[in-house]
Amino acid sequence: MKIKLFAVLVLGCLVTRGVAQFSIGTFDKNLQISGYVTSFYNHRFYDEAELDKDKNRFNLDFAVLRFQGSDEKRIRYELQVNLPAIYSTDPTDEFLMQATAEYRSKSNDFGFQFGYDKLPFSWASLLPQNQSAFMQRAESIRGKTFNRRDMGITLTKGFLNKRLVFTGGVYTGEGINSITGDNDPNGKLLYAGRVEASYPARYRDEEIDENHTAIPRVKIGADASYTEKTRTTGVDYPILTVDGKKTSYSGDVTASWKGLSAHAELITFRVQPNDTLVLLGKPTDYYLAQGVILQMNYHSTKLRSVFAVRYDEFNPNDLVVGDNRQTVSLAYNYLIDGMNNVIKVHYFYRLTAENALEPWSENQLRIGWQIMF
Amino acid sequence: MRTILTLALLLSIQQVIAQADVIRRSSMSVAEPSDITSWPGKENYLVLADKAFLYEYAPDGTQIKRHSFESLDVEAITCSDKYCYVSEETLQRIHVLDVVTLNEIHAVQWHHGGGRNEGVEALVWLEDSRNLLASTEKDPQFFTLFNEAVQPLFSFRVEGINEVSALTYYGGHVYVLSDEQATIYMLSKDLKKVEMQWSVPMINPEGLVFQQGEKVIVLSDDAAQWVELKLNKP
Repeated sequence: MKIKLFAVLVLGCLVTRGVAQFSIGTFDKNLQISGYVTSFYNHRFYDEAELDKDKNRFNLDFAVLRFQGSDEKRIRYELQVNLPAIYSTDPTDEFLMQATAEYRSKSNDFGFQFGYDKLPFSWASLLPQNQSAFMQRAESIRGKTFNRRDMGITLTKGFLNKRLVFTGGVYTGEGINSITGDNDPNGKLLYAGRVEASYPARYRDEEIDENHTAIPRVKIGADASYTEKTRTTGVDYPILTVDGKKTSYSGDVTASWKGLSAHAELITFRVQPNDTLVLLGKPTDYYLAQGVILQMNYHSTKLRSVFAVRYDEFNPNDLVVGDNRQTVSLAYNYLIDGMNNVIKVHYFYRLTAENALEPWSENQLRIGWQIMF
Repeated sequence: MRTILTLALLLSIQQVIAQADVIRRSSMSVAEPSDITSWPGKENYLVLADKAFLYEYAPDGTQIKRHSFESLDVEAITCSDKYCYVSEETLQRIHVLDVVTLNEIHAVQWHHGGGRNEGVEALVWLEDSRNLLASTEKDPQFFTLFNEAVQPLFSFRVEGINEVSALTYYGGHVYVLSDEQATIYMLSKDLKKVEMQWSVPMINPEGLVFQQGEKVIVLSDDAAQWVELKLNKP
């Protein structure tokens, strides 16, 4: 009887339609309040001999509060925080996700933004995680290889009904440390920009084709960033900032049609270090860190489901042969109320790279529940 | 007996689905066209676009002029024999314009608490009952009936409709356009159910008006296109 009662309560919660976003306002101002909560259980398939199995655990991935204000003078502001990051020691878990003030033109094709936000670099990085079928980003763009957010100024200009969009800006280049801290001793800034072109219509930043677009649509994009610093940082890969010059560039293609969507992206970080010991004695003055993302998603209205597969590869240093991190990810989402209320399953299958004896990490299963409000 | 009753029930809730065929497409010189309506006493149409402005278009889709009215994030327009009503989505206001001069008379704020992109997405003047019908886009989608002075009377939902991008009124029926479903729905005259529906082969349809007979004009927001469609009989 208790089990039946529990099942009824759980199912009752699951079938309740989520109601995303609320707003309050005066005659000339509006403040929207929204957010999302994502919890998961993660299971790593460790070797029998492994003694430390600390990745098998429940986690609160996101508990995000988002405030978006606007007024009739076309001024916008946004504040977005992720509460669990307060307790995290992982530098990729950022408490402050966005704090910006923005002006947009009347026709909405020009914008000027000042504050802390994502850099205009890598389409896969720019997409919100809560709109993805997967529960973790690809290795090359999940915050370990470049500072995904920074303090600075961003300009955006669209042409041809936003079929062609240019975004560019200048930033401190110190990521989370830019919020209140000082710049690198050399005082140099980071420059980043992105251009994207869509056909036959502007392409909205959506990974999943929930609307089953009736006519095929495609977008191509290219990004670049450049900075010079004197300090090398990065927990897993020493390229977050580098003592030397770091030039980053990427290209991507995205398409969707009738629920099917595909994305391909190539990311390269060209590191020209001041310390030549990093070059391992090779006859060069730079090395490359490169990532590849290939992804395909299918949204089924009838099954209220999303099926997705992704191949992602990252080589943190091309001077080290065979040092590749390759993963095939499979995702299944059951859409109780679209992405407002969704069960997500993400399986990570680690591949063995050429010339490597072992896969770079263990296989992993992550099951989560995301509610947006 | 139970089987027969079940079959009868299934047949009774089955709506007729037909295809709308494209007769003509043309590019528009404006960005993000969000709604179109007929202009009483004129042969031209009124179009909202560029997020802020009101344009006049000829029946063949040629832009005639931009009128002086402008606002923030305009999404829907409809006209009675006295007024034109324009919905401003972000600040959740409805502007009331003189139908002849298109000058603003006043604005009414109707704040329903939904997100700033989930305000009044569609408006239509019901000439027979002399009421204004409004719809939110989604999260949640619902209809609200107003009187001529934009005072809310009551709200309701229609089964089968979850997202709305435009409304129009023709032959005593309200027609509902859904962007995400790429579908035009015809409601019953009592506004209680969907009687017919047509799938629309275009990207991001927003803005709907009847031209003549079964021919409709639908605007594509993302593609900035004027699309003339024929609604085939099922």
